Amino acid sequence: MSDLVAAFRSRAGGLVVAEGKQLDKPSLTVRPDALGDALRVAHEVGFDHLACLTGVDYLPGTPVEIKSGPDAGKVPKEDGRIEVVYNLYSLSARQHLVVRVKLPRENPEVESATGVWKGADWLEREIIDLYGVKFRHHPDPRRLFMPEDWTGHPLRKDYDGTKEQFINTADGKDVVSFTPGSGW
Amino acid sequence: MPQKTITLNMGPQHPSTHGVLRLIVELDGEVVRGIEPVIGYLHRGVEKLAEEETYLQVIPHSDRLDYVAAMHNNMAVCHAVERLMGVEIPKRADYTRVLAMEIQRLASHYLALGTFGLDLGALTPFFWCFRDREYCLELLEDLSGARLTYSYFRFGGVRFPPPPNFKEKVRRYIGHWKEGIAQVEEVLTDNDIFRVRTEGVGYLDPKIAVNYGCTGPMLRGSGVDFDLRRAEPYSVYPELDFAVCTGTGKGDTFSRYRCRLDEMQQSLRIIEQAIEKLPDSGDYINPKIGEGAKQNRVKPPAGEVYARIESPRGEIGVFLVSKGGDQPYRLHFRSHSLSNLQVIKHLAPGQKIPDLIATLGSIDIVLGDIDR
Repeated sequence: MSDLVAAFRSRAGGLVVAEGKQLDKPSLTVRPDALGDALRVAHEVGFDHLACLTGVDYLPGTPVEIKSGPDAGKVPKEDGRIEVVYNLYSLSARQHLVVRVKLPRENPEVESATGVWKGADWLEREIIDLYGVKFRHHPDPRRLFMPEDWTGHPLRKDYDGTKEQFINTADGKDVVSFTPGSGW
Repeated sequence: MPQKTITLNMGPQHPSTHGVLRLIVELDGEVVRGIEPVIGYLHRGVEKLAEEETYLQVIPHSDRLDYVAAMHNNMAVCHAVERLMGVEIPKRADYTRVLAMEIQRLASHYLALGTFGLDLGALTPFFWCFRDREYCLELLEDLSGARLTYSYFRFGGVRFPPPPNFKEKVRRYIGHWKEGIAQVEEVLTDNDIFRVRTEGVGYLDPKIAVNYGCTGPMLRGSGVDFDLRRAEPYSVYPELDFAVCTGTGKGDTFSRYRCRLDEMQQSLRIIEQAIEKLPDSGDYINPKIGEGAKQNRVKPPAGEVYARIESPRGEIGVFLVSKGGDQPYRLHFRSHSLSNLQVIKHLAPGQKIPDLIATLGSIDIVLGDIDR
C-alpha cells in the first residue's frame, strides 16, 4: 500500500510551512494562500474523504498550556490565530492526513474546499457563521445556524454572550436586534 | 410557454421531516426543481457550552445530540478523552459498552425503519418496530437508569455494572427481536407497494456519496463497504465476529433500508457473542481514574485528537483540543447527519414529492446532531 502522505509531500511539499502530529496522525501546516492547491493535491493523491473540518480560536493572551505550580507564569501566550483544521482520510488506503492553516483573526480568509469536496459546503458555512472566516469562491456563503442578521460570531473566544440579542417579528419577518421588543 | 415554479415551504414543524428541518422546495407541478434545506432550529450551542464545562459535564450534553443513539455520542466523547489520556479500559467495561452500543443500534434502526415505513404510509410496522424498541429501551434502562439520554459512559468505563439478571434477560429478548425482524421483513420487504416506492428511488452514486462526506448506511447502501468498526476498530470489536452490510449495493432507498435491516441482524450476532464473553466480575471502570467525583477532575494532557466511531447513522467524531486543564479548549462534534443531509440538494431535483419524502426518510437524519 503506497504511502499517500509521502506522495503528498513529494507533490506539494513546497506549500508546507510546518509539520507536526495530531496525536498519531501527521499534521501539515500550509500557507493560507496555498490551501486550495494543497487540498487539490491531497484529493488527487487519494484522500477522498473529508472527515472533519473545524476551526479553533486561539485567543491572544491565553496560555498555550495550562500548568500549575512554579512554571505557571512561564508558559508562552497564544498568538491570536484562528486555525482551520482539515482531517483528511483515504477510504481505500485507510491513511490519515491533517492539513491546517493559521489565519490572522482580524481578517481570516482562505480558499473554499467546495471545489474539491462538495461536502465542505455546509462545514464551511458553519465556520463562516460561528468564526467569521471568509471562504473565497464558496457557492453560498451565508450563516448556517444563526439568523441572517445576527451580530458577532458565537464560537470566537471574545464573543460577548452577555449582550443578549432578541428575535422579534415585524411585518411578518423576523428581525434580530439588541432591544427586547414587546414580546408575544 | 415558460415553466413557472411555485415555492413550497415544508416548514420546521412537519410530520415527515424527522425533526425541525425546513425544506424550501421549488416545484414544477409535482416535480421538485430545486430544494434548500434550512437548519438551525435546534442549535443549542453545545460546542460553546463545552468550553465552559468540565469533561464530565460534557457527557450529558453529548447525549442530546443524536438523541436516538445517545450511547454512541457518549462513546465518542469518552473515546476522544481516553485516547488523549492513553488509558486502558477494563474488559468488563468494554463488553458492557459494546452491549450498550449494539442494543442502542437496534433501537435506533427500529426507529429509522418504523418512521421510514410511516413516511410511505405503512402504519403497522411502525407500531411493531416501536414495540420491539421497547425491549431495547428496557434493557438500557436496566443498565443506566434512563430510557433515552443515558449519560452512561464514563472515562475509563461505565457508570454502573450490568445488573445480576441482565444476561438471561438479553438472551430472552434476542428471541423477541428475531421474531420482530421477521415480521417487519414480511410486511415491508415482501410488500410490492413498498418495493415499487423504494427501488430505483433516490439513487446515490458511490463517488458522489464519498465526495459529500456521507458515512454509515448512506455510504454502505451505495456499495462502499466502509465501517469504522472494521476500518478503525475501537473497544472490543476486533474480538467480535460480524459482517459489514452494504444492503443491495444499488444505492437507492431500498438498498439503504436493506442495509439497516441487515445491520440489525449483525447487531444480534454481536450481542449474542458479547453476552457470552462478558465477564461477570471485575472492574467496570478504570481504577486509576476512579468513579464519582474523580471523573469531574479528569485532566487529559495538552494535545489535539480527532476520535471517531460508527454510530447507527454514520461517523460521529469528536475533535478535541486540550490545554491540560479540566475543561476542553475546543470540542467539536463531527456530525453524521449534517454531511448526509447535504446530499438531498443533489438527490431531490427531478423527483416527485412522495419520492422526496422517501429519500429524506432513507437518509435518516436526527436534527439534534445536525444543529448541535
